[in-house]
Amino acid sequence: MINIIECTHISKSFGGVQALKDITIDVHQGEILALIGENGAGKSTLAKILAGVHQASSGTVFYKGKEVSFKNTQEARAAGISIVLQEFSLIPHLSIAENIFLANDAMYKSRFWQNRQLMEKETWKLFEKSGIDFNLSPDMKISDLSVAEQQYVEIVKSFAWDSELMILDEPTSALSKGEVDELFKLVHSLKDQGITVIFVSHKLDEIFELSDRIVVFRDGEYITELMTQESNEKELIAAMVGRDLGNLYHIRQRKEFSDDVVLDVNALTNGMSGNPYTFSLHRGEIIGFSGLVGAGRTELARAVFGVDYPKEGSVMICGENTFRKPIKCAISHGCAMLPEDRKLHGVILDQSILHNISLSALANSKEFFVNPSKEQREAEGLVEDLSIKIESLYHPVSSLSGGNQQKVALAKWLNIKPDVLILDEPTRGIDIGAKFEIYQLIDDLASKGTAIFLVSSELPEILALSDRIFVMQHGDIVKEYHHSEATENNIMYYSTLGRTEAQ
Amino acid sequence: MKSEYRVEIMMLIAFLLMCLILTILTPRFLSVGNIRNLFWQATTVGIIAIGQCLIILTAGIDLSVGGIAAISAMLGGLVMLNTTLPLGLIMIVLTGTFFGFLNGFLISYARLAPFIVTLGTLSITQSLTYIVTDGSSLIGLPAGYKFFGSFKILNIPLYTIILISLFVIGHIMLKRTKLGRFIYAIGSNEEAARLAGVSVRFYKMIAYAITGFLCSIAVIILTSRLGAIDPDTGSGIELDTIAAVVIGGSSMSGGKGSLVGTFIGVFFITVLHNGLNLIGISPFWQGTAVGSVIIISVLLDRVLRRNQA
Repeated sequence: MINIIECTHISKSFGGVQALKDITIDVHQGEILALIGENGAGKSTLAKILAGVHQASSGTVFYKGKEVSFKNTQEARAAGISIVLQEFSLIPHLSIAENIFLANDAMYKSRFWQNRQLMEKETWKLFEKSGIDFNLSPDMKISDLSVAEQQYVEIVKSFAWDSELMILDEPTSALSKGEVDELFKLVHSLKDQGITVIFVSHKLDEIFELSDRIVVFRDGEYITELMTQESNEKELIAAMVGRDLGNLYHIRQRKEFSDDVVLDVNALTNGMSGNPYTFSLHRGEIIGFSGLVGAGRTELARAVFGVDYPKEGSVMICGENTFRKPIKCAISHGCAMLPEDRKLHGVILDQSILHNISLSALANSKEFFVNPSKEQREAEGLVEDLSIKIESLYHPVSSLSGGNQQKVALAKWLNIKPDVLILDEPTRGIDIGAKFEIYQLIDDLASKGTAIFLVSSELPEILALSDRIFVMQHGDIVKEYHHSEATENNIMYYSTLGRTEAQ
Repeated sequence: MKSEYRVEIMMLIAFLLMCLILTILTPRFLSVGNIRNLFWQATTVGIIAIGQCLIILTAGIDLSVGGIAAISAMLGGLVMLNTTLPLGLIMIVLTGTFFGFLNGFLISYARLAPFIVTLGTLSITQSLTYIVTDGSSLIGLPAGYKFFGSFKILNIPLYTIILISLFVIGHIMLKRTKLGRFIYAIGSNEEAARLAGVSVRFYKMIAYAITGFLCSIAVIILTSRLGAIDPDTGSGIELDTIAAVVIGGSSMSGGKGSLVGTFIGVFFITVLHNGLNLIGISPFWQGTAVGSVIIISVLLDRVLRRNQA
C-alpha cells in the first residue's frame, strides 16, 4: 500500500486559536478517505492545508514521498492536488467551458480572443472522463445550473488539471438526496480511475455509504481511525463527540397533545401548489414536512408566516385570520419562524447577541422605550435555558459557532412565547452534539404545549421528532403519516415517485 | 481598545490634533470671536447631519437635504410675507417634513434606490425654489423672524442650545428606543430584521421624514440670521453632512456608527473649513480638503474595523 500523503506533526493556529494540534496521518493511494468531526474539529483545516489554501504553522507534509509546502492552490493543483470547497469558485455569467479553462493559458495564448470551439471540445472530453452524465453542455451558463450541477463542474475542473488527489469539503450540504446519490457515483468513478479522494463531512450516513476508511477529529486533535466496514454509527458518534449521546429515537417524549387547534390552514394556494393545502396543527403537536429540495416546504412555511403572500385560502393562527397580512400580524397572534438560511436571515451577524435576542420581542411590544435591565434579564434567562455558550451578551453573533447562532435565533423567538413555531431546517450545518441539544429543546417545547411546524431534509430528524409526517412532492402534500407508520423508505418513496390523493 | 466607541475616539483624537495644529499656526483660531463663529457655522450642517446619520445607518443616503431646505424656506417665506410669521413657520416645517416623507415613501414602499430618489428630489426641489420666486430672493421678512438666529440665553445662542439638544435627543433615541434599535437592525441586515417582525418599510421612511423635518428647523435658523431667503440656500450642504457622518465613523453600508461620531464629524468639517480660511488658503482648496478627509476617514474606518473582527 503506497501512501500518497504523509503528514507528520502538523499544527495550525489562526491568531490565538489552535485549529490543529500535532496531526500525524497517512492517506493511502486510491482510497476514499473520510475526515469527520464536529464543526471546528479541524478536519476542514487539514484538508485546506493539503490543498494549499492554508499553510501549516509547523510540521511536514509528504506528497508522493517528497516534502511539499504549497503556498497557494495553484501550486497544489499543478502538483496534482485539487479541492472543491463549499463556496464554489465559478463565475456565474460565463459558460461551463469558460470556467473550466479560465486559468488555462493555452486556450488564450495564441489569439486575442478565446478559442471557444477548442474549449468546448476539451470540456466534452472531461465530461466523458468523469463517467457520469449530468446532461450538461459546455456552453451552458453557470447561473442557469443547479447547485448540484455546479458542483459537478467544480469536480470536472479538477480533471482539467489531471489531479491525482481530490479533496471534497462538505460536498453534500446543499444537495438533495437524489443529487447526493449522483455525487457518490461520481466519487466511485473517480476511484475507479485511480484518483484518491478525501471526503470531509459530518454526515454519518454518507460516510458509511461512501468511504473506505475514516479518520476522526475532535478539538483539533486526531482521535482515531476506523475501517468503514468494521465500524458503526454509535462508535463513530462517540469518537466525534467524546461522550455517549443516547438514542435519537428516545428523545421525543410523545405526550398526549390537546385538541386545541393553534394553526388552521384551509385551501391555501401559492405559486408552488398544485392542489390547495389544508391541515391543522394542535397545541403540543409536531408536524414534520419532508420532501426533496424544491418540493415546496419552505414556500408553504413562508406563506403561513406571511413572508410571501399566498394566493387564496385561509390561515388562522390561534383563531385569528392572518391570511395575506404582514409578518407582524402572525407574530402578534403567536407564530414564529426560524428561516432556512440562518446566517442570512435567522440572525443579524454583526449585531450583539443581546440585540438579536430582543429584536422580535421589541418589534412585538407597544412600548417606545427599551428597558435595558429587563432586556438583559430576559436574554440572560434564555441563554441559560438554551445552554448557549457565549462569552458576553455584547459580543456579535458572528463570534459564535453555528449551533450557538441557531440557539440565539431560537432564543429570539422564544422571547415572544409563541404558540406556533415554524422551524425550517433547524439543524442544517450544525454538528452532532449541538444537534442533539436542539432536538431536546424542540421536544421540551412541544411537551410544554408549543405547536411545531418542522421542515427538514434529514429523515432521522423528521422521524424522531414528528407526531405526524407530511410528505411533499412538487408543491403538493402527497402523503400523510402517523409517526408509527413512517419509515425512511416510504417517506423517500413519496418524496420522489408515489402520489396519492391529496387531503 | 475594546470600547464600543473605538472609532469615535480615534476621530476625536484626530480632531483635537487638528485644533492643536491650527492654534499653533494662527492665534486667531482660539479667539472668543472665532469660537462663536465655529458654533454658528456648525449649526446648519450639524442639525441636518443628525438626520443624515440616521439615514446612513439604514444603509441609505439623502442627497436632497439642501434642496429640501431651500424649498421649505422659500415657500414658508412667501407665506410669511403674505400672512403671518407663525403660519410661515408652520409652512416651512410642513414643507420640509413633506419632502422627507416623499423621499421615504419612494425609497421604502416603491423600493427605489435612495441615491437615485434623493438625487431626483434634489433636482426637483432646487428648481421649484427658483420657479416660486422667479429666481429672486425674499427680503423684508417680519422682524420677529430674527429671533431664531440671534436670541441668547445667558449669552449662549439659542441655536447652539437647539443643536446640542437635538443631538442629545437623537442619541437617546438611537440607543434607548425601538426606533433606534430598528434603524441599526435594518442597516445591518434588512431582510433578517423584516423576518423578525420589524416593520422595515415604515421605519426607513421615518428616518427620511425626520431628516426632512430637521432640514426645515436648520433652514429657519440659517435664514433667520441672514435676514433673507436666497434661492440657493443650502446649496452643497449635502456633501458636508455626508462627510460629517462618514468622518464620524458611520459605515455607508449601514448598521454601524453613532451620533456621537457624527457630532465630532460635524465639528471636524467646520474646523477644517474655518481653519483653512484663517490660514489664508484659497477657498477653492476647501473641496480638496474635505474630499481628502472623507477618503482618509473611510480608509481608517476600514482598517480599524478589520482589526476589530
